[in-house]
Amino acid sequence: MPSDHHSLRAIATLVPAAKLVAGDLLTRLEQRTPDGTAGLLDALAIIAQGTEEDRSRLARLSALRTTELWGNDLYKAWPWLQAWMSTDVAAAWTFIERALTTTPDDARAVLVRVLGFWDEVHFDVTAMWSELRRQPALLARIIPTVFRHLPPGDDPQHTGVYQIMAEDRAIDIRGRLPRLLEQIAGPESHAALKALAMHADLAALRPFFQNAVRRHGEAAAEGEPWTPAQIVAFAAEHECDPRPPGDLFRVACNRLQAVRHDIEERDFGDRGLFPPKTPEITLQRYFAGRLERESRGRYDVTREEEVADHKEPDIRLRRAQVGVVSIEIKPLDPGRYSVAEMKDTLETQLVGQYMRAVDSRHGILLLCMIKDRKWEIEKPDGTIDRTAGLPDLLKVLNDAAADLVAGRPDIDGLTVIGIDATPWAKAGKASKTKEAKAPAKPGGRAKVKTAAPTEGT
Amino acid sequence: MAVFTALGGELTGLSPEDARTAAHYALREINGPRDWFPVLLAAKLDVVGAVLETKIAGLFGEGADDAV
Repeated sequence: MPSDHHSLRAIATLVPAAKLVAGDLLTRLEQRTPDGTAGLLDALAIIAQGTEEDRSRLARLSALRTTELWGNDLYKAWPWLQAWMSTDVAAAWTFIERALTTTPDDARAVLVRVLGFWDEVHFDVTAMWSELRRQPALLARIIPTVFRHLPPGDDPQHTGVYQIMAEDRAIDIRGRLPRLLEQIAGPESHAALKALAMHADLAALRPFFQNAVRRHGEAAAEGEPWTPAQIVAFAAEHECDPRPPGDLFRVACNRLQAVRHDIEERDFGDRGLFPPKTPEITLQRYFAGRLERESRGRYDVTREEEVADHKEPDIRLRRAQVGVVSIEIKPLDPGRYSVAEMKDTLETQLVGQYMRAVDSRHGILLLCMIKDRKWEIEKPDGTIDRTAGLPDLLKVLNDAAADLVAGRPDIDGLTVIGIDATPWAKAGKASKTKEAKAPAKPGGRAKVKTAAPTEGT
Repeated sequence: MAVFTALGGELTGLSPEDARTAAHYALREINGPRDWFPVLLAAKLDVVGAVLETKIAGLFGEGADDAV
């Protein structure tokens, strides 16, 4: 038998229905608190969708109820605190700060619960996040408190498959807060970043905040004028020497895209050079050589031959006084690397081990498909696409990379580049399906893309 | 849904009693209200609004919420 609070959840998911009843529901709650908490959160979520006046009244009521209940019945206080957070985050956070000082033993548990509100799925927290973006000074208060009571050193260490718990969600939110502050333009957020770069509770994050101060300043300032030599060099080569690490990362991405174009599109490119089961080390040598030949003095290439515990990336691009870009290479053919394995490579290997080991804040996962294959990828509607190709794979992995950058203050840039190095399909022998995807190329071969002018035409 | 389709997406022709029954069922859908519920709400605001009020009253232990 569906319960009554199931109906309330249904109403909360329908904006017109929620708006219709929000005022009446709020009046009832102001007069009387329900005996239990079942359905209360949904009722509060309904009111939060009401008018601005409804939201203001809800903020006052939530503050009152939270304060009344906090010391007596914590369980009943949570829904009210959540409503308070979503309607007046500054006042609610001040309350939390005081609560954390009075319950230091439970500080981590309290913070896990509070940050869990910020990742809420059925309570609309859009307005709360918007408010945080308008208040960099508040974020500058929140960040050290969160890192002090939820220190990364106490985080659970997951291996293999694991269920995401409230603590994992809170850790994810914690990682997003510094980046959120950096994204806010203006002198107030700049001053906040500078203060946090020197904050005693944030020693582990000092490199991030120092870099964030520089990036924030660069984004706000007019660039330095170019020297005549730089203008001449740019006219000849269409690029300049990289200065901040982000520049080196962009140069690395551009070089690899040029290599990709060269392999995939050129008439005498290197498609089909690598047979199935080509060892990873062969590809490392090949790409290290390509990157070195095309460095044009912008960077040095280092390839790790033998490294203890394999804690360093396959290739590093380094420029003195600028930084290091780590590149991990994976060959793709039938049997090598599922989507889950590549996500694990991205997060655990590239970010978690290699980039950390060489103090690199930028990384590239380079995927080289040497024999055609498909992957199983979950679509937005929950169904599984069992025929996903390389472009679909890159979309999924680059979304995961963007999530990692947003959630980890220790990295600044991460991308996945894919190169289709499978042999051209031979014209006349290809199946109809293959012909549709890979039209025959003059000279007896076919290519996937025909954007580049073909030989002899 | 079959009724909704049969009516060509037009729900103003429903009787108040049918509209009330449809609203109750819509709110009991385990995967959330059906696509036609907003159409029903717009077409029969008074009737559906009264159903919503009974659901809210249930939070406070009032009313016969299960009446369909």
